Amino acid sequence: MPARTIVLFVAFLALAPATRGDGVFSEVALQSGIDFRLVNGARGDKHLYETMIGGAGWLDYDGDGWLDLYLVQGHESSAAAFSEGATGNVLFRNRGDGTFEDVTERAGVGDRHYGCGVATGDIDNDGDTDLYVTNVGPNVLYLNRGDGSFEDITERAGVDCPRWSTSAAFADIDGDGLLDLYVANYLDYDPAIHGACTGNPRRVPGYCHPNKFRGAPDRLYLNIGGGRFRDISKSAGVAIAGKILGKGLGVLPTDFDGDGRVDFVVANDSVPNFVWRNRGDLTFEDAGLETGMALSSEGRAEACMGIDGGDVNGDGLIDYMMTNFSEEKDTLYLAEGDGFFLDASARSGLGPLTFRPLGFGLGFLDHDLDGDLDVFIARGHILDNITEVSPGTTLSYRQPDQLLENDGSGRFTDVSSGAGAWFREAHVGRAAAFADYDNDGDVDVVVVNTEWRAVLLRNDRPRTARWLGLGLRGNGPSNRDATGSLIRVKLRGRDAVAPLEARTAWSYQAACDPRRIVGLGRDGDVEHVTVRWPDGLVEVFRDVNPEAYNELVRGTGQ
Amino acid sequence: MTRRALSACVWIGAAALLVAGCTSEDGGERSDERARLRALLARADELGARGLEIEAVKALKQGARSLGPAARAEAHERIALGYHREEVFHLALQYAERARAAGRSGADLLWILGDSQRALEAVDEAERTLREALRREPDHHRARLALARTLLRKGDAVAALPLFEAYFDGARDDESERNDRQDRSARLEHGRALRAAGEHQRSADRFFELLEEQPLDPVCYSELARSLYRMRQREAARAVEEIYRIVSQQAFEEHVEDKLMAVGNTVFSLSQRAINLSSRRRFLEAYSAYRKALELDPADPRPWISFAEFCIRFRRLAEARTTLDRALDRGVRPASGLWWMRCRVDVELGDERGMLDAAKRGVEALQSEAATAGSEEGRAPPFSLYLHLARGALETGALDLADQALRAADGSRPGRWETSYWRGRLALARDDVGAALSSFHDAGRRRDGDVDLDLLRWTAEALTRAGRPDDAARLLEACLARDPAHHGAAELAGRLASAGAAGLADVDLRFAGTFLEKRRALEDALQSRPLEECGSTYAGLGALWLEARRPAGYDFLFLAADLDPENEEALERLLDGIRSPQDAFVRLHYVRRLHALRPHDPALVAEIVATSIRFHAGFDEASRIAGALHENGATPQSYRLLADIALARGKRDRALELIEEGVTRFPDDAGLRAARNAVSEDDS
Repeated sequence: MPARTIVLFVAFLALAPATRGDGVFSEVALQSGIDFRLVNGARGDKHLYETMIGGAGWLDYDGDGWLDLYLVQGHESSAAAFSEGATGNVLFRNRGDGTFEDVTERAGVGDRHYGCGVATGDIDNDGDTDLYVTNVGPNVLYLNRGDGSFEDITERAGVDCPRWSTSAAFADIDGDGLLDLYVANYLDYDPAIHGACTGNPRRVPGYCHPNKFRGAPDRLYLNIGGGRFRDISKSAGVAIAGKILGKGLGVLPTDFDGDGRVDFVVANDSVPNFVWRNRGDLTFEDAGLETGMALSSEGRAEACMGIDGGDVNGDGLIDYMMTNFSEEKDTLYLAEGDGFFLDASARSGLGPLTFRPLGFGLGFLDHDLDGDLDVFIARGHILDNITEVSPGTTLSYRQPDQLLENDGSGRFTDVSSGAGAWFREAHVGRAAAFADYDNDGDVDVVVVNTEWRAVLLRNDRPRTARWLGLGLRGNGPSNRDATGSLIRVKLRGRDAVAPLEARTAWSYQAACDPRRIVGLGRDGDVEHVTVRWPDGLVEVFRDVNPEAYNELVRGTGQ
Repeated sequence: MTRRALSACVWIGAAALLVAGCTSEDGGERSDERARLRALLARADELGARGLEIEAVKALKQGARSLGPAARAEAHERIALGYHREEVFHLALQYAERARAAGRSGADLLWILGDSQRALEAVDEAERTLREALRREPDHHRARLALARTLLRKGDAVAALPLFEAYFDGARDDESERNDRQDRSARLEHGRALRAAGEHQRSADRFFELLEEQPLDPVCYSELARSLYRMRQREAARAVEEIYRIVSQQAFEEHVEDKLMAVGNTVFSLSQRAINLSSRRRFLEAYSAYRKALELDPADPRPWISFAEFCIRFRRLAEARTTLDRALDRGVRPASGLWWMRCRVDVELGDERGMLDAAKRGVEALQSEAATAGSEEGRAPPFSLYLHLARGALETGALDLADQALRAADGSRPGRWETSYWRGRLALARDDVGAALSSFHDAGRRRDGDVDLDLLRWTAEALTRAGRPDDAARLLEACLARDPAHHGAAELAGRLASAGAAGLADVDLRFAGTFLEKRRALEDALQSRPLEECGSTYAGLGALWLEARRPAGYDFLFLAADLDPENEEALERLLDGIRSPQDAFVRLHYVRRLHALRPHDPALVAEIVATSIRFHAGFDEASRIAGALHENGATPQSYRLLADIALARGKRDRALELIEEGVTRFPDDAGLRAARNAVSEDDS
């Protein structure tokens, strides 16, 4: 059965406005109509969330085939962060010609809470994408009505979770065809009690270390249909928290042990990461220590922020990476098989490349389509007064983002200097959301920066390689987004079969393109694509076309 | 060296001295510079030997400024070493590079450079540097260790393992190269390398051994659990992981200790270390860390206060008072916190007059501090200070002052139970029994049902004076049931019992008096002697405290066991109290220590073997110990222990062989026969 091919490659680049690019990525936000400045409302009280917020999500809210952009906003008073403010989130509609328009009001998604992140998914399987916004304070669930507008169904759905939530992810944990929701919560924080810390040589007020606070328990909501969810966090076992537990910043739905059930890897800040193994009975067990992903190779809990998973060394197994604090390398956990992972940061070259700066948003992307996964990291320190708090430090608050090139074996080099003018500027990056917004077959990135404007990095690399675009559509027992599916692309004449997972939640406080792009190299060709759908059905699709997006529909393969 | 070569050396040396010391003016300057460098290095080494590496670095930095390039480079190398020893790797690297750029090139410097590169994730450079160090000095053990660690990080555990093993062999022969921290890191990394190379049992054994030595080291728990998971020993792994979750609560505080040292704040780092060691129950080392911190004469009151608190905990009240007086004499500011702590010491000493004076001085200091700018860190907590003032005033009869102080306390933190309690005490002092009872009732209500023994005792006093001795007796009975050593309660109960109050017949009213007497004798013995000589006194205090059901007695016993490692009684008492599953390795640590004193105690050997089997690690050592017991005199138990170890190792045939041998030798032993049946059934 042929896959449906949607050729969306248009003469788009010719229409594109002038850019600031001189490398792979061109920064085109303002020219494209994305004028968004993240406001954190900092007034010197040093409330920790001031330096942690900033979310971004890609979704095709109007079903026109072009990904639109949702940006999450803080507000003007961090001291009142648990209440609504004057500024709100913004939805930019992709006009399909490289420009965007603000449709927030029309769509009704301008939540005015002190916002953190966003998750996307079709919670009612009606074919359009719904939105979940995480906040400092109550979160918001917007149900897409399918007419260009959304309805706030938070109360009915029972997913408000009035804590300090960061990243969230939709995934079907019980295989019932409905997307459930995992919400990572960070700290138990009360702005009336908590504020600046002065434990530094000059005793100047600075942001506190998260270990001054108790971690907040994460939440897991089971979708019971009809736009309603049930909080099963406690019975599922994921609601654990404490001084050394549960300070979640990044969450990744993934099947780390290959048993066909979706698990969650949670990147925790300065406490051991969680690896929630799905037992298949609506309960989870933490396999962090068991798998080797709870701690670094030296047995330390790192300050993890962003997270992604992908096969970086072509061995057919999914590896995981997390961004960490400054002077704490970003960590690559390489799969060894049998559910065990090894901190391979040093051997991969990532150790020295990532040791100094501090990372937030993170994504694997094949920016040059050569068939391996490269890495993009949004960077920026937590401490806006780092030179005062740490006299003599050579670290800086503003840091350039990083692009790291994979040589195919899982060894990386820093190619930022040739990646575009943006990479020579220093800002304070938080969320990075990845998507092919211009449908040209490569991955672009939006980065939200603290107290600065969001940037849109369009991948303009001269095309020397072929690509394959894959979009999945579930039906019947599978959720419509097919989130949780495992895709394996068999290239003609090659043994390796790269695994890809269908999801939109990765990076930091971000939602990304649900479609997947596979780089084929200069002359690569596809033999077939195998999909293991969330309900366990495995299908092979042979008639897939490179240089185009192919929609693979459950039940239409072999 | 031949006699001729030796004499040549002597001649050359003498000539060099002549040239350096007696020729030109430049030569004189150089000689002077060498002398200054030598003095500087000697001073740094002396500080380093006392564990004050960062202070050594500070002295070197200061002294190096006036040195010429060559001497400065040598000083920089020593600075790099100091930073490296304290694991401040980025500065170690910086100074090592400076020294190298100025022409220093020895293997020691390359080792510092390479190991710092390794720690800072620059593993390729580290490998190059360390290989160069080893090329220059093939037997440089520390460079070998650093290279092993580098190769492990680079994913080549198989190449790393022989280097680790060569390091252990070489460094063992060369005691001067070893230090505890380095040795422990080496063994920890060796364990990781073994796991990475697939030698999971050996790696588990390594971590097990490290945990035996330092049973509250969270890293070793996580590593042992990871090795056990690899071995599919899930039950043992889960048990270890559970302990890890409890023990690792302290991980952040250890991070703080390292960070403080890294930014050069030696005093606070040492104080934090003392706090961390205390929470690991390593009180002797904590005491030493405090002493080192205070040797540096900190200008901030907090280290002084923290040490005084430690002294109160260990009843070294004279030392606490002397320490605080020293800080006050030296003008440490803000002073209010020091005076507040003096109040607390005087409370323990029963010196009401001293407490009152200290509280007054504290309040004065606090008021002047509030009027001036400056840090609030180290100031007295006003509420507590006013309460001490009230107490001092009350107990010296200055009732109006006590009243004022209580109003101030209430203003500082309204609605606290303590204020009501002291109001009750004040009312009693004024013979206003009704007001006293009302205040005590209010205090109780504010505690929301949580009992305070002093509140019970003084409520009983008020009830007695109100003519309700039976009610008073009931409270005293409850108080003494919780703390039979509560002297105030026992004294009042004695009076009531003599007067015929009901309900006190079953209470041992003499215990508190005996306790107090013994306690005073033991505490008096502590005051005039250095801590290091107080092992038996702490053992006695621990026993006394436990007799009174006071859990703090274990702290005294932990300290006693460190001060006097051969005190079997202290070890036995400690082991009586260490029984929870999370303390499995703490218990093992003390069992091993007791076993070292009683190697043929079958109960101790059995426990060591059982722990080894439970955690599926340490079989070689368990086997050795059980084997020694067996050789000392075979018993049915020694056969069973050896068979159990063999079974845990998966050597079923050997286990059966041992049991058969045991049965032959002890045919009537039911345990051996049962063991034979169990193993045979498993076989079938």
